[in-house]
Amino acid sequence: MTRKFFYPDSIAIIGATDNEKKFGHAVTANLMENKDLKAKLCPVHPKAETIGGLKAYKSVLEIPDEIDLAILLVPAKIVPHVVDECIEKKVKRIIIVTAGFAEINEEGRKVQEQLSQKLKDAGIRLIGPNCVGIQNVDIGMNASFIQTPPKGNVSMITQSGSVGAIVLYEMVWQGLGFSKFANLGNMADINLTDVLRFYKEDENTKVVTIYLENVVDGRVFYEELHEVAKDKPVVVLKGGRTATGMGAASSHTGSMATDYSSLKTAVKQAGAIMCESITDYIAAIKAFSFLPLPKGEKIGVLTNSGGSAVMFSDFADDFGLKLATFTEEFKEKIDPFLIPLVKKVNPLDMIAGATGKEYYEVTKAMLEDPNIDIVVPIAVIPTFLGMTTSEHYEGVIRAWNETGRKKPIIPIFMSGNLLNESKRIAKKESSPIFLNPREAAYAIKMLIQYAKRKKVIE
Amino acid sequence: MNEINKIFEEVKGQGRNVLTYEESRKVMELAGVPLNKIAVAKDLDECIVKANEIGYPVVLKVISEDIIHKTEAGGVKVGIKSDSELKKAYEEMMESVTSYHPGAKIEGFSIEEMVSGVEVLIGQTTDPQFGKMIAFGIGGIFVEVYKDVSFRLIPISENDVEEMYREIKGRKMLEGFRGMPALKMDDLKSLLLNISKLVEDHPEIKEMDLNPVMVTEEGLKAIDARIILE
Repeated sequence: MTRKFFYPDSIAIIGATDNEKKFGHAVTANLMENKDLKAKLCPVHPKAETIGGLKAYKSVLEIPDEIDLAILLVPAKIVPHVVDECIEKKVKRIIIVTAGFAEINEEGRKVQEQLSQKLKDAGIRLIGPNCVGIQNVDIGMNASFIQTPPKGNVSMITQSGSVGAIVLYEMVWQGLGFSKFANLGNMADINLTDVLRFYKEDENTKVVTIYLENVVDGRVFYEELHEVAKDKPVVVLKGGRTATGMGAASSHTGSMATDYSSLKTAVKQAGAIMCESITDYIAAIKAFSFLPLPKGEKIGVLTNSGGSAVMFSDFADDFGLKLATFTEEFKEKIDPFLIPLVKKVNPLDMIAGATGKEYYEVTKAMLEDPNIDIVVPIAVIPTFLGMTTSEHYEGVIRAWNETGRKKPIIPIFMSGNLLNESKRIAKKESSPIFLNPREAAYAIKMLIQYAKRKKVIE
Repeated sequence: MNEINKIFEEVKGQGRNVLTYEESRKVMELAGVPLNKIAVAKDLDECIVKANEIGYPVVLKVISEDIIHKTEAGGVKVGIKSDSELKKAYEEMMESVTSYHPGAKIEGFSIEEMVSGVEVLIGQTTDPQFGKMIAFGIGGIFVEVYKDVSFRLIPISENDVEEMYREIKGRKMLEGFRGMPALKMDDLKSLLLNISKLVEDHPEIKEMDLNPVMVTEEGLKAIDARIILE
C-alpha cells in the first residue's frame, strides 16, 4: 500500500550523516528537524556512534525493532548490498534517493532491474531510485532533501525533483501549504498512478497537483485521473512536447496526431486542469487550495483603479467570463459607501480615495448579493490620505470571513513591496492574493470549468 | 459474423490493410455514418436515369482498373447540373479517357451527389500510449496547414463532443458563416459517437479519415472515406 510510505512507524536512514558536506546530510537533517514526527528514527552509518544525537547503527541488521521504511542515501555502488540487507531485515518499504541507475546508462538500467526484481520477490515496495524523496507535512515527515513547506491541503506528484522544488518554493512564497509531496524518480516500482490512487483516498489532500513529462501505461493513468478528478481538483503541468513515435502515418488524422500531445488530451478529457505554464499552474493551485467553487458565473468587480479594472475586463473577455449587471436593490445598498462621483456600474470604480472601510462594506454587499457569484476586489495600494498599506486587503478578508467564505474572492493587489503587510495577513488568514489581472482571470476560468465538471454550476 | 467483420476479413485475406474507397464507404454506411448518394451506371442512358434519381448537381467519374489517375485522364467531371450537361460531360470524358489510355477497359461510371458547404474532418488514429483516439476539426485540403483539430480518447461521451467543438478555433465557420449552413450539434454527436462505437467494436481499425465531411442544410454528409487496418 502506497499510504504506508507516508505514514511509517519506524524509519531507517541508511547513509545518515552529521557531515554537512555529505550528500546524505540534507535528508538526515530534514527528518530529524521536526520534533512532532512520531515515527522512530534509526540512523545507520558504518562508523558513527550517534547521528543528530540519536544512537547510530552499523547496519540495518543491527536495529532491534521492525523497520517500516528504509531510506537509502548511500553511494550507488553499495546500494545492491544495502538492499540485500534490507531484504534480510524484512523492512516493508524502501526509498532509494541515490542516483546512477537507469537514467545514466544501460549498465545502470540492468542494476536497477535486478534490484526491483529482488525487492518484488521479497514483497517490498520501492520508490525511486534517483529521487528527491517524499514528504508528509501533516505528520512532520520530510524524507527528502528539499525545504519543508508549511502545512496545507495541496498534495503533489512530480516527475522532476527540481520542478517540484520550484513549485514548492513558489507556493510557500505565495502563502500556500502542502499536505504530501512525492518525487518518484525512475519509478522502478511505485508510479504516478499508485500515488494518485493514494491522494484520492487521503483526507487531508484537497487539491492534487502533478508535474509530468511522460506516462508509462497511458490508459491506466487516464482512468485513475478520471476517478480522482470526480472528487478533487487535479492541476497538471506537462513538460516537453510528445512527438510520440507514431511512425509514418498514412492518414490526415494520423499525421496531425504526431504533432499533438495525446497526453494533454487525456488529461483534459479526464476532467483535470491542464496548465500551459508554471504561472498558470500556480494560479490554478492557489484558486483551488484557498477558494470554494462558485455556484454561478457572474462576477462583481470593485476597484480603486479604473485602469486595473479595464485590464482585468480585457482578460475576462479573453477567457469568456461574465460580469454581473448590478440590480437596483444592490445599487441602493452600496450607495451610502460611495462618493457621488462614482458611477454604479460593474466594474465598480470607487476611485482612489476609497478606504479599507469602503472595501469591507462593498465586498460584503457583493458577497451577500444573490446576483453575484464571484467577487474580484482590485486595489492599487494608496500612499496618501493617511491610509495604511494593508487596510484594503484587511477589509476584503473581513467581509469574506463574516460571510462564511461561501463564495470565491479573487483579490487582485498590484503594488510590489507595498504588499508585504497584506501578504503577511494572507498567510495568517489562509487567503489568496492574485498578483496580476491575467492570473486572476485564468484562476476564475479554471474554478468555473471545474465547478461545471462537478455540476456545482449546472 | 457481422457484415463489417466480413469486409475486414476479405481485405485481410487479400493481404491488404488499406480498404478501397468502396469498401470504406460500405463500412461507414453500416456504422450509420451519413454519406453523399452514389450510384453506378453502365452507359449514358443509365447515367441520366441515376443522376435524376440522385438529383443534380452531380459528379461523374469513370470506373476502370486501368485508369489509376482519374483526374489526369479526364475521368472526373464535377458540377453537372442537367441532362444535357451530363451528356456533354460524358462525351468529353469518353474522348479524353480513350486518348489518354487507348484500350482501357471501362467497367462503368459512378454518379455522385455533389454537396457543398463548409468542410470538416472526422478521423481516428491509434496512439502508442493511449490507444484509440478520435479527431474532429476543420477539414478540406488545408487540414495539415491549420491543424485546427481536437482529439479525444475513445470511447467518448456527448460532453466530450461538446468540448471538442469548443476547442476548434475556426468554429465560427461552422455557425452559419456568410449564409452557409450551420453545423447542428446533434448531428455531430451522433456521427462522432457512431465512429467511437465502430472503433470500440472493431479495434483492428488503425486509422481512418472522413475528409471532407460537408456541413449541409440536411445535415452532415461524408464524401470521402478511408480506413486502414492494423
